[in-house]
Amino acid sequence: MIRLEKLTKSFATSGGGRKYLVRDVTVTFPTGSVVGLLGRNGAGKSTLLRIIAGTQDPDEGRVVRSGTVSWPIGFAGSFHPDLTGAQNTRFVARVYGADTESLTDYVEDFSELGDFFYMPVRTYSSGMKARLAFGVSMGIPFDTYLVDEVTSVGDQRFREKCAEVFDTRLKSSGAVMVSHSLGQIREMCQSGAVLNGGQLQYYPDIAEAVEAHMRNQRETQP
Amino acid sequence: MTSRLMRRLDFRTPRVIAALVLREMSTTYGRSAGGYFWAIAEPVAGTVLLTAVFSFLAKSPPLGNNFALFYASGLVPFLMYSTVASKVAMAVKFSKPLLVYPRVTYLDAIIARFLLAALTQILVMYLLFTYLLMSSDTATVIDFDAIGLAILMAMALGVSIGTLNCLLFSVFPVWANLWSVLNRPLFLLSGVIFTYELLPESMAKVLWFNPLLHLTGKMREGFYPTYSPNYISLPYYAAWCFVPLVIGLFFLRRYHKKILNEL
Repeated sequence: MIRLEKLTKSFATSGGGRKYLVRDVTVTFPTGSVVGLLGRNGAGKSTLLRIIAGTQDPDEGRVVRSGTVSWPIGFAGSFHPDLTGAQNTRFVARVYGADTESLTDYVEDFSELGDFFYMPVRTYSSGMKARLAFGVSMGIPFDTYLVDEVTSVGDQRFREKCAEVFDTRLKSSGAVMVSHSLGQIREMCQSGAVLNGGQLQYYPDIAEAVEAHMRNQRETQP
Repeated sequence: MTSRLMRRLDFRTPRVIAALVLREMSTTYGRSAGGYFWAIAEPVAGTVLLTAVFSFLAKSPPLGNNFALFYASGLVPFLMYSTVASKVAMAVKFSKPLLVYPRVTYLDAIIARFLLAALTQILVMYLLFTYLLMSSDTATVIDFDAIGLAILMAMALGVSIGTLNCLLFSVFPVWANLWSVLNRPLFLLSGVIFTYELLPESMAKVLWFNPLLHLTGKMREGFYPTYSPNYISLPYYAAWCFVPLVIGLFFLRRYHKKILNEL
């Protein structure tokens, strides 16, 4: 379960005012639910994910988490360019207390990097980095996964494989997802939360959330 | 309450620090050919250079009769301090990509960089002085208490200045440039190539306030039994080890997430 309590986060704008991403928001995401986080471009979805993860502070309020929460899983992760894929994997395993051997085995097999797994990450293409990032994050069991736009990893076949693994994970874990693909959100999430004008509205049914989001999109003024 | 206590006791922090140290070792020392060789090259090359130059200029060093030992005993604590300080100062900046993992905190990054720099510097010092003392017939009686204290002093000042700079470099990037300019003459003013007692009185009065002069004096006291530097003030030095550290930690603790995400 993740509960946002009286959460406020704002940024100074160039005009001298403040833009509120969330303002005094209290929302509970139930345990095990897969929540699609919807909002306009620049509404602050990624920032909200970082606040939920704990790497960014809200101005006010707090986030209560039960169970383990992943880092915001994105494209490249935080791989050191001079370390090999295997070394980077071991680092994450150590940080999260996972068994280094079994995680490297899992990631090597999953990411299909072949010999590149033992080459420095700086030699990787962006697709290879994304495969490594996704493999590492799927190799560690979390109670809640935070996912930030990792839909376009690799080719069609690899994407299907990712979706399959992620689906298996979601049988026993929850997630908060950001994706530009509404189709994917509809497919994977049961519930949704819509970020709009400083408010975060939670909908237990994803169809309602998508509908509310589309309504917001159509309105011209933010 | 219990869960918070449990979280503190689950060895998470030592594990993260160990992971950071291992990562740092393979990136800093593993990348270039030679690796650890470069860590020892700096003090060795410095000692050789100073020895070569000054043994032409003077008949004997300011203390004892072994040029290399005199300059090494000033250069090593100076480099120990400056290496630790600069490693720690870059902790948050270099670890920025790592801090996407909520488990890794700015404090882990600082501690890990400090530990690795400190251990490396102590190893380098041990190798250099073992060689110097074994290769020459210098009949010196070593005072391990003074040397140990000097090492501790170098580390403490390094962490303290490094932590404050870690904050300042992120908030005022121009300070990083200014700092490196200000530090250039420091090598000449910190008692690496002279002892405090040799300074003219007017200069001694001013330079007394340079904490590094107290540090190099303490280290020399350990290598020269007849040398007793009575200008050293440990309380004054300790202030340098605590005040910047406390200010740096206070603001980093409060603002490190802002620094990482919004600056």
